[in-house]
This record gives sequence, structure tokens and C-alpha cells, in this order.
Amino acid sequence: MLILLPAVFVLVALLILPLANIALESIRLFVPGHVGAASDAPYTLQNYTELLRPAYLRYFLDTFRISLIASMLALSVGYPIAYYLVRRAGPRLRRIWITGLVALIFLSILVRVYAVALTFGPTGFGTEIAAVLDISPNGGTYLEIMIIAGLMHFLVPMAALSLIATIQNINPRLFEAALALGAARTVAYLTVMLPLSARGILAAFMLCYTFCISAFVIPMVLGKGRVLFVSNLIYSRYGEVGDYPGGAAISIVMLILSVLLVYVVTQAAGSRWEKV
Amino acid sequence: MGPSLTRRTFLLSTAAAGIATGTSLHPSPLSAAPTPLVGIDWGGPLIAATKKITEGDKNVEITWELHTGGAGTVLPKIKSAWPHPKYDIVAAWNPVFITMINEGWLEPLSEKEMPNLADIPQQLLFKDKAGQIVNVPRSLAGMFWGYREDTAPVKLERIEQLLDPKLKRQICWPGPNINSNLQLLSLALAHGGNEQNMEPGWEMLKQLAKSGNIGRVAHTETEFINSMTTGETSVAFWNMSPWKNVSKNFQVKVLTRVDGDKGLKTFLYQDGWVVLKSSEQKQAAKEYLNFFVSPENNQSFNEMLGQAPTNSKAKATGFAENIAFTKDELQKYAYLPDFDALAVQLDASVKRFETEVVPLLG
Repeated sequence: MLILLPAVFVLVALLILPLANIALESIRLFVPGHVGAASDAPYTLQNYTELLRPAYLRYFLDTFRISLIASMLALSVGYPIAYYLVRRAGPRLRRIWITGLVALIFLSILVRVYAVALTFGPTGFGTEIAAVLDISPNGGTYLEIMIIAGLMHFLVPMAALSLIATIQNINPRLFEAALALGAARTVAYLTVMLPLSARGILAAFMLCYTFCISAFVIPMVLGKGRVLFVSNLIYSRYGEVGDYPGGAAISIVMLILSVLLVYVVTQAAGSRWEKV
Repeated sequence: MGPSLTRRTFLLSTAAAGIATGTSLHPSPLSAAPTPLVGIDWGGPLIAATKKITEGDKNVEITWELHTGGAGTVLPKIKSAWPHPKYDIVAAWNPVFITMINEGWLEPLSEKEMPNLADIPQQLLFKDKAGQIVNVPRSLAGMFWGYREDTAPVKLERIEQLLDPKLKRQICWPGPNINSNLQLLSLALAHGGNEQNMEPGWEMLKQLAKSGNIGRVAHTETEFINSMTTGETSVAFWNMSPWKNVSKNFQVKVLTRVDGDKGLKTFLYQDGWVVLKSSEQKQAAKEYLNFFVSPENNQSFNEMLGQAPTNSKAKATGFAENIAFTKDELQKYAYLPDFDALAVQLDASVKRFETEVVPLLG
């Protein structure tokens, strides 16, 4: 047990105490014109009841929806990359690819975001792409596509790198056996490879999804103030109007929803795998 | 044996020579290392101009930080670190001064310590609860509507024209936390409202959001400048320095003198400096700010920005002529907002914008 003490200390000091502080702040009354709640401010649930308005529900749904789309797309791009690197690529090519993927993770977030903004914005190919998609280059749908593109910049390397280990651990003879027994390649992929890598896919998905729902700079720059993530609302409360209690309430709700989501998904997947 | 030159006799004789010639030991760059200060200012042209002026003061060495958006973003940074925030001096404007006074963060200033304050009109000076001066105004500026003449599909002359379908996605709307929401006040004034009754403004803003004419909600000067210069939008409400920046490369029409429209006003404000009570270098900070608002520095600083000087001995030139109103023009085109009333509405305005306007932007 003693071996756990440093970890417990760090966890309490850096996670539990700040979270308790945020939870306490979230039930304080905020007086406009000040910064944060006064130390003797009365307790209230007003900061939470405000979030029951339909518009706020929409922000939460938008954040979860766009994050889901970006994560699924990242997995569908990252999985073939990982599969190719493990099963097909030669050692030299594999090294180049992996170096490239790792380098992408280290690239500055601002460089990536502004690269997307300039490439797909009014000075780039925005007008042409929007014309192909038959949408307005400055409309809400196009902005969501830009945000998803910005998120995928981060997610694809993350997903591919985390799936490499999963695919590497699958015995290739199982796939070959399916082919030898007469299964078409696509069927063999879908019935052998995918189920065997399901746990790794789920782990990669959770990694991508948690990154997306807490993304801040990407929706702030690419959303043009018209598509907002919950993280942008939290920043606005804390950083721009000094409404700490309001920001704390949104943070606590987001935390609870995120933990619930992770719990439900892992429980559902776990019970399914137990049956199998 | 002749008199020996000790350190004490050297200092005494040098001081005596200084008195005799009317010079002081203190400001000599050779006599003391510059005092380190930490300051925060807006980015873009403002920090460039500030640094240019600061080059002339060898007594301080300032580490600069930039506001991450509106000046209000500095408030939580100070609050979370109080009583030991890292800043000695902060550049801000009317509504932020009000909040800082409410929090009791500002160091009192006086004409005795800062003689150049005597040349600044009393109306521009903010006072704390004890009636002491707490700010050093550096610029008089205005916020107003304007458009790029080469790209705007409508020549704006009435505020109602903002709803013109030709302006689809062409308006760069400042976020509600920016400019103290004066952009909303301009809509409210046009429809009979004011700072105490912003409802008519909200109604028009919702129509504007529904119309699809808002192309971007900008939260920083840089976003505004990028949006206007890339041609993403062509009509906006912003303040002088960024407008001047856009006008360097594009033909810009600023609507500072519009007849017959109650909303297309020039909203006057000041920006300036404050010294935080927590600063350990108060004296050096005050001397630096006194230097900053001397007639020549104040004029030079504002010439670079296209804003009007606050020192009565300095002159308004160039872009600042857009707001160099005569007494009659001041009555007709300018508007002095009630920032106290706007400051207390800010939190509610941000929430209202999130719940009632953003969902309509599409």
C-alpha cells in the first residue's frame, strides 16, 4: 500500500482538490461587475438551472456530435494506415511513416489550425470546395467540416499509432486461415480482423473522443464564433467575463457527462465481449 | 599630500555638480540598471506603438504580455494570482477600469508624482472610492461602423441596411464580450433604446442573425483584421486602430459622421494605463507612465495608431481626424456611453448571445 502513497498524494493535490474547488465555486452566486464569486457569496443552484435552456443542450449535443463524427472518421482513416504499416509496408517505409505520424503529433496546434483555416478559408480553396459540396463557403455546415478537418489533423496520427500495437498482436495466421477456408478478403477482414481488434479500436476511439470533446483552439479558430464547443463557453465565462461560478457549473456538467459516456460505452462493450 | 578621492567625496561632488547644472543623478542610464517591470497591452499595432515609445525610456526594462482577446481577459489572471499578480502596469479601458476599481486593485496616482497628469483633462481620470486618481489615459478613441469600399455590396448609410440581403455573410460582428457590447448599443439606439434598455438592440440583432448576414463573430482585433483583409467580410463595427490597419491596404469608409441615423454614432472611449497596488516597482512604474504621456510621446504614440492624444498639449493628426469633432459635431455624431451600466450587463449579455443569437446564426 505504501507504494501508492505518492500517487495518491499527487492525485489528491492536483485533481481532487482543484475539482472540489470548482464544484464549490459552481454553487456560489456571481455578482456582475466583479471577477469570480466573493468568498462569502451565498450558495445557489442558479448556475446549473441556467444550463437547462435548450440552447445549452444544443452546445453539448453539437460538441458530442461533431466529436463523434471526427473520431469515427479518424478511426476509419487510421485503421487502414495501421494495418498497412503492420502487414504490408517494408521496414524502411514503416519507419518513414511512423516518424511522420509522430512528427505530426509534435506539430504546434496553432500551425495546424491556421494551416486548415488558410487552406480551406476565403484565401484558399474554400469557395471551390464549398461549390463542389453545394454548400455556402461561410455557412454552418462548412464550418463544421472545417472543425472536423482540424480535429482529424490530430486524431489520425493518434488513432493510427495506437492501433499499430493492436494489429501487431493479432496472429496473421487467423486471417490466412479464413482465406484458406474460402472466405473473401472483405469478409475475412470484417469477420476476423475487425472483431479481433475491437478492444484496440475502442481504446483508440476513447482516446480520440476525449481529445475532441475537450478541444478548445480548433473550434475557437475554425468555428468563427458561430460553431461553439462547450470548452469555448467555459473559456468565455472564466476568461472574458469573470463569471467563475458560471464557468465552473458548465465544467462540472461536462465532466459528469463525459465520465458517464465513457462508463456507458466501456460497460456496453465489456458486457458484449463477456458474452462472446 | 593632496586630497584623496573617496567614494563618498566623489558622490557628493557629483551630486553638487548635478544640482548646479540642474540635472539629476537618477535618470542617467549610466548611474543605474533599468528597473524590470511586467506590463500587459493589446497586441497588433498597439503593442508595436507602445514598444516604440518605451525605447525612449532607458530607466525601465519591460517584459510585455498581450491580452488574449479583450482587455477583460486580464481580470481573471490578476484575480487568480492576487495579491501577487506578475503585472506592474496594465493597459485597459473604461469598463475594465471600473471592475478593477470595484476589486480595489489600483494604486492611487497623483500629479505630484506624475506631473504630466496635470495636462490631461479631469473628465478622463478615473477615481477610486477614496477619490484618488487611478488611471493614466493615453488615447481617446472611437468605435464605429465602417466598410471596405472595394468589396462591400452595400454602401452603408442607415443601420437598417445591415439587414440588406446583399450583405449575406458580409458582417463581422464583435462578440458580446468585446467593445463592452457597444455594437449592440448602436442597434438599440437606432430603435429608441439606450444602455438601460437594450431590448430593441437584441431584437434587431436576432433579425440580423436570422438574415444570415453575420459571417463571423470576432473576438480579437486580429480576427477582425484578418476577416476584413482576406475579404471574408466587408462590414464591421470596431475601434480606430484596427480600422486604420485595414485602411493601409484597402479603401475603407469609416462612418464617424453620419447624418440622420441614431445608431450610426461614434462611441467615444479612452484607453490607458493603471498601476497595480501589488507592484513592487510602483515608483518606477509611475515614472515610466509619466514619461509615456508626456506631450511629445503621447502625440507620437497616437499618431502611430491613428487615435487622438489625451495630453492637452499634444495634437490629433492623421486618422485621428475622423474623431476630431468640433463642439457641434460632438453633439451630432459622438456618443459617450454609460460604461457602468454596460459593465454590469456583460455577463447576462454573453449568456443571452449564446442562447438567443448564436443558435440563429446557422
